[in-house]
Amino acid sequence: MLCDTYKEALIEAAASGAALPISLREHVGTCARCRATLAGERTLFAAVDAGLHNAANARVPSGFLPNVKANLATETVPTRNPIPVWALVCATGALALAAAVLSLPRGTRDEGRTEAISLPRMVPAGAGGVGLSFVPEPKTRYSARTSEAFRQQNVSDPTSHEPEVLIQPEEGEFLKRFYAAVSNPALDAKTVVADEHEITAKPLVIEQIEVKDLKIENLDEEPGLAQTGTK
Amino acid sequence: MQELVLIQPIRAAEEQWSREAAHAAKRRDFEERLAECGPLAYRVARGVLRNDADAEDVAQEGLLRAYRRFDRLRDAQRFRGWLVRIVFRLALDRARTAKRREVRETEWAQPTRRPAPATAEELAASSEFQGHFDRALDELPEKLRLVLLLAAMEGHTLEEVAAMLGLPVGTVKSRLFAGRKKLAEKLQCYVTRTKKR
Repeated sequence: MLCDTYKEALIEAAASGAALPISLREHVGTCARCRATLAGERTLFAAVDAGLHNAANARVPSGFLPNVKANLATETVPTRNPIPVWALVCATGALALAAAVLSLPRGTRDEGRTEAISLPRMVPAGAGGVGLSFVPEPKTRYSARTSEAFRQQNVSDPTSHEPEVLIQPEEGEFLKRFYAAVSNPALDAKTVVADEHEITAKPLVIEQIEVKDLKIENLDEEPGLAQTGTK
Repeated sequence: MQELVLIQPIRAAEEQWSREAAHAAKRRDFEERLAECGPLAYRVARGVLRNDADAEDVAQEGLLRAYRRFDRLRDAQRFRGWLVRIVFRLALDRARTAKRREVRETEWAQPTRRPAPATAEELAASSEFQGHFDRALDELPEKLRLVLLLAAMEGHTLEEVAAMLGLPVGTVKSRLFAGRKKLAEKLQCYVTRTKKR
């Protein structure tokens, strides 16, 4: 009966590894059963600790880190939008609302401030049969909004000071890559070009120049030159 | 009629280049951490799964997932704890669906008869004890199991475990104590039975 009162204290002592309280130590010194219980509990906790150590300290395979690095190398630039989905939904809703509000007929106050620009969006085809996209420069306080509209239409913002280039649509990606390579000093522009249009150096052959009947005339005798010289 | 497009190549190129530069910087930063945290990820997975192939698989998946979400991590100091949680969660999912569990349960149902181990080291090293131990560890609540595994790893102090998991040191201590005690309770009957043989 007395031993049962010490049982919990014995387990606590074995679990914590702390020294036994004086009263418990005296009892264990005299009671063989409690001494055996304490020894058993200590063995059990030591086995638990050893099992945990084995489970938690496994040897890492030598090929593990190189494999991970190889997998990382195959990872491409993430194309996922870092903006959360809920933010996109809210922004879309707000844009739709704004578009709905702006599509309503404006009052006279707004009309007075806005300079109406009505120009055809397409310039007539030229001699080569090539039409040019044309967008008028915004001149009103809504220029920020129209700039956004230009961006959405994949047309560059006319208020920007960046140089602009007219190209065929399929050449856009190639030109971007080329400029990226040019602006990156670590890359050689030739390597960017070479994978699409391989450059092979060929010896330049110049045919022999034949000069026939070389005639030397006196330039002073020309009437035009003589007049300017006299003036 | 062919339509031409008006573009600003310099701006587009700068955007592309800065994106690639950011990606390269991210990869460098991650690879620096990989040398330190890769083994940690493996050991956490191995501690849950106790199978080398599965652990390697899960740790790799966890590291790749962490790499993809690396931008979302605002506090770089919390990288280890963040990675540990990702790998631990993946390992738990794998363990739940693993077919190997059935094999282990079969082994558990038919333990081999061997002489009783004399010391704690022999007890821990015996395969029968290991089977019981694995099962007892699997049955522990997740929060206790993670603390037990991290604290048992070499070189981890309780303060480091607490910092890694974002918990107070007192909480880690109490979870560690409770986890060891529960494990001992679950293994008590096995040890008693072994001694009676």
